[in-house]
Amino acid sequence: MIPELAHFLCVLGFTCALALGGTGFFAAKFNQAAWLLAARQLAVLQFLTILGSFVLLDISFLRDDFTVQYIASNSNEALPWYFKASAMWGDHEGSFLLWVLVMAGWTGAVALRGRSHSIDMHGYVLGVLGLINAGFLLFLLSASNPFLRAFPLNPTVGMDMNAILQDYGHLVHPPFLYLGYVGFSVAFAYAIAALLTGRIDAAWARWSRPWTNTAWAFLTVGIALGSWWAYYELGWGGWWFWDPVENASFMPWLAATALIHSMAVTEKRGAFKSWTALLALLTFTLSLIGAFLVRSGVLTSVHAFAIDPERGVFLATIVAVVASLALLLYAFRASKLRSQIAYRGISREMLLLANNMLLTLALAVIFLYTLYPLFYEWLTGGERTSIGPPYFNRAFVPLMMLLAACLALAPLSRWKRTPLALYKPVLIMLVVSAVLGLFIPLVYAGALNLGVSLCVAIAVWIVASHLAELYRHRRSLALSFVGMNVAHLGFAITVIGIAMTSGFSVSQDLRLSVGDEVQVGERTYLFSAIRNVEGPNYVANQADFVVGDVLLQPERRQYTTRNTVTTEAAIRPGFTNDLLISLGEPVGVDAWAVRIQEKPFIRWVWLGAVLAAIAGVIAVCDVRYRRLRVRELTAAQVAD
Amino acid sequence: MKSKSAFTPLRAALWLPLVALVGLCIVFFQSLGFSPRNVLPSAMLDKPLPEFSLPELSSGIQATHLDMPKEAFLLNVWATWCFPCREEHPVLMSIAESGINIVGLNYKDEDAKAVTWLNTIGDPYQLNLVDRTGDYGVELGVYGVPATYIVDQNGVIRYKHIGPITDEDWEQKLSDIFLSLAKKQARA
Repeated sequence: MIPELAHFLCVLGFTCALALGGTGFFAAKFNQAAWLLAARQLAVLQFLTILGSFVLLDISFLRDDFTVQYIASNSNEALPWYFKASAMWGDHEGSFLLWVLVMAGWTGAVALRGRSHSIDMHGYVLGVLGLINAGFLLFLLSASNPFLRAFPLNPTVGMDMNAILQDYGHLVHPPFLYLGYVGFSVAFAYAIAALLTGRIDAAWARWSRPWTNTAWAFLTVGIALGSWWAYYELGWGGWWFWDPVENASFMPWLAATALIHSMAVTEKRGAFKSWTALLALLTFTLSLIGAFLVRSGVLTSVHAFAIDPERGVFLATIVAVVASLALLLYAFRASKLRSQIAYRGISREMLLLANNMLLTLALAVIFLYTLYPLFYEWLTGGERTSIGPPYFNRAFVPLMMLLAACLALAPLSRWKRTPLALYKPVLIMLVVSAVLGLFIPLVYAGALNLGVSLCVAIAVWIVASHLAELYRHRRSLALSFVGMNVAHLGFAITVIGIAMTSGFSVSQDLRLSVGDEVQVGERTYLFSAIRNVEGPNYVANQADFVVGDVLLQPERRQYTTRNTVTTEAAIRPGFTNDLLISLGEPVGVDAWAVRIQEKPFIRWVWLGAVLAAIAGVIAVCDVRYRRLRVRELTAAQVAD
Repeated sequence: MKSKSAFTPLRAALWLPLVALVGLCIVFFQSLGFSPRNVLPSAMLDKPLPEFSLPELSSGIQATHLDMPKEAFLLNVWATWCFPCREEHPVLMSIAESGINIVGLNYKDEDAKAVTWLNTIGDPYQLNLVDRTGDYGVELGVYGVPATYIVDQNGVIRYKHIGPITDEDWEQKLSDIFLSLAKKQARA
């Protein structure tokens, strides 16, 4: 009964989404306040029905209802309860249910928060969100239905969850990622509403900026979690692979980062208007393209979901319909969005323009490289090729270094024109940073690496110029200013982490027997024991390594139902250095393949990202977004 | 006086995003029609291995197709950075033990790491070609590592397996294909 009820609620959610699309557009077109109220209630109802559907299906997971096809293929009775719950989004169907739930959640939030909006703006935004989710739900119900029973009924113990997903990372990584991806639909809907009403002004920017910032913060955390999870769960110490699926999440992130900055210009200077609208459309389009690439199987990836050509056609259709309608509207209407701006010397506008150009260029490169195998296959009629990480790094790293160099000038730049005298202290900081950049890596590693030195120098420069500016404004700190500074500091910290870990990681593949002692880097590792251990649904070899006074226990697990092997690296995390040991397969009679690694500053990569995400939320709390609401509310009350 | 914005694009340029999207969607729809991903592209099947002159891993001497085994063999594409290659390794070891020739193609890797890998966990390969740039991989149509080609005694590609070979893959499928090639050779 429970899966059927879940199925029914999901269908109900679909009808709500359709009705929301209709009422939203009607309210906007004919300026009907009563219809807008109905649309807002429908948005909340849509969220509640899909939440109900989601919870009920998850309850079926917890109850081991293996008569449901999707549960039988993705869960197992021996799993601990929290993995049963997260097994729900371990494969395509369930993860897409999470996707539509998140979409309905954002829609509901927009319905509840947008009280200060004009009727037409709010109506269009809700209508667009409703129609998009109707498309998603149609796809879910027709081509990826997770509620179907397996006929004939033959309850088994379940095929088990993909072994790599049996981890805490899987509990949080997909939800954060989807909150980010799907959250950009709100900026998308605001851009459509702006094109339909012909209004992109400071008020529009103040309405849409907090949503964009929030979604961006979620995606930032989601990507960082994914990287951290790959680092310890895939077991071999890598943290970014330029895999198509990683790129699928990184491209919307780059576009959204550009969007956040472009929105600032639109809000403060009334400029970049049509560019801001285009970026908002592109960001969500990239999310959709990402979903297509990941779920259709046209690109080979470690993340591949089960492949079904019918799904690919459906998802490509969603991309084609949603994005082409949006861009058609853009082509007709964008010329109405006039901006007036003048550039004189180095101004904040100039720096933000440079930021947007560099980010867009980086996005274009990653887009072309990611899709290159697809284009190649298309041009040659079916031949295949691949592009490795070195290509991505060669193009991406220099662009980011240029961006970082511009960033150091950011905090003290002024709108319109920055007096050149302001830059004097920054140039002094540049000299000091160059010296520090040269010496910090040299002192840390005892070796000179010019690439690392350059990165560290620029990062230190960013930190110095931002801290100086924060200090100068210490008596009157607006939250949005704090947010900007903290986000930029986060970026600098990530740059330091990436530079140090890329430059000074130590890695050795060894063949060790119990009792062996080896030296890697400056530390001695003693392989003291190995034993068999048994988990709920796996058996494992567990090794003991003694490093100083630390005991590290890497495992090699064999999951019994699907007969898959995972490597559980043992990590001693450290603020400036991680030690990481992975246990490979047995070699010969009593020896084991072992990889021992030192990963300096790896934590900084994620620390910076988390800091930036927090900064995004700090900026959203800025008083001017609330003031706007109060002011508009009083205006509305006066009108009443 | 304010100069007129250079940032208001020409009206025609506003259509460019749409044109780009339409082009992209055409590629998307067409690529969905291509064969499933684990089948060798027909262009390479039953064709000889592309010509090559690549250094051999342990000796550093250039090897060409003349140095290939004179009977059917497996050409295995691998790298130390490739996680599934590690899982595949024991299977390759047992295939090699059964007397079948395996030629390695060490793909976009570092020599020192590759040599250490083989010295530590065992070397199933008769010889190892080094494809530092990945150019030869492109000619072979490698788009994921590991990949394994079955090549007959005349140097003609007969089959391509994508992803790590598991024991089941070998027992249920690949060994049959391989043995049928060996039989043909014996008859000839």
